[in-house]
Amino acid sequence: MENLDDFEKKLQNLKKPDLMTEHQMYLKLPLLNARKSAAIGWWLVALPCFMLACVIMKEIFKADYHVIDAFFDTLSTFDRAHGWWFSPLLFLIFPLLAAAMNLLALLNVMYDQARKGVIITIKLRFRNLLLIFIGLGVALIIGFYVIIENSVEKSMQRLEELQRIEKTK
Amino acid sequence: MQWFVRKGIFFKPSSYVGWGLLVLTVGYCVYAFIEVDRHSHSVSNTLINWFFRVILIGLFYSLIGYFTSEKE
Repeated sequence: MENLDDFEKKLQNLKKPDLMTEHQMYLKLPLLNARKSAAIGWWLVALPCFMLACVIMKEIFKADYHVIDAFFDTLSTFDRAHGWWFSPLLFLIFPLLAAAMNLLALLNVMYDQARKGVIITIKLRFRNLLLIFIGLGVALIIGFYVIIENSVEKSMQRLEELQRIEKTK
Repeated sequence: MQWFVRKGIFFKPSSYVGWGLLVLTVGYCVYAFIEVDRHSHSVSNTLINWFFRVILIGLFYSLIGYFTSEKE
C-alpha cells in the first residue's frame, strides 16, 4: 500500500513534457523545389553557355568555323528584330535567375530563439551548386565583358574627339 | 493545375492541356525549321538558327512546365 502511495506521489511530481517542439522555433525557407529548380536551371543557362563556348573558341583558340559566325549572325538578327532588351535578358538575366532559383532551393534560414540569431545553412546538392556557379560565372563574365567593352568604346570616342580638337588648333 | 510531370530536365505532359502545349511546341519547332531552311544558305546556318529557336521555345515550355507540374 505504501508502495502504491509512493508511486502516486512520484507520478504527481512528474513534470509535464513541454509541447513546444523544435521545428516551431525556426523559420524554414527553402522556397523552391531543388530538383525542379535544377531542371529549369539547365534550360536557363544553355544558350549563355553555348555563346561563351563560341566566344572562347573564336577569341582564344582562334577557331574559324562557319557555325560560330552563323550563331553570332543569328544573335544580331534577333537583336535587330526584338530590340535592346533581348540580349541582356538572355545572357545576363536568365543565368542570374538560374543561380537565384537554385540558391533559394538550397538555402535554409533558421531563427535561433535562444541565441537570438539567424542560422543560414546550405544543402549540399551537387547539381544545384553547379548551376549556381555556372549561372553566376556566366553572368559575371558577360557583365565584365559588357562593362569593359563599353568603357573601351567611350575612351576611343574621347580619343577621337581630342584628335579632332588638336587638328582644329 | 497539374499539366506536367518532371522527368529529368524535361516536363512530360500529364493532361490534355499539357499534351496540347507539347504539340504546339513541336509544331513550332517544325515550322521554325522550314522557315529557317528557306532563308539560310548552308546546312550549318540552318542548324544553328534552328537550334537557337528550339532552345528558346524549350525554355518557355519548361517555364510553363515548372509552374504547372506537380509538387515534389
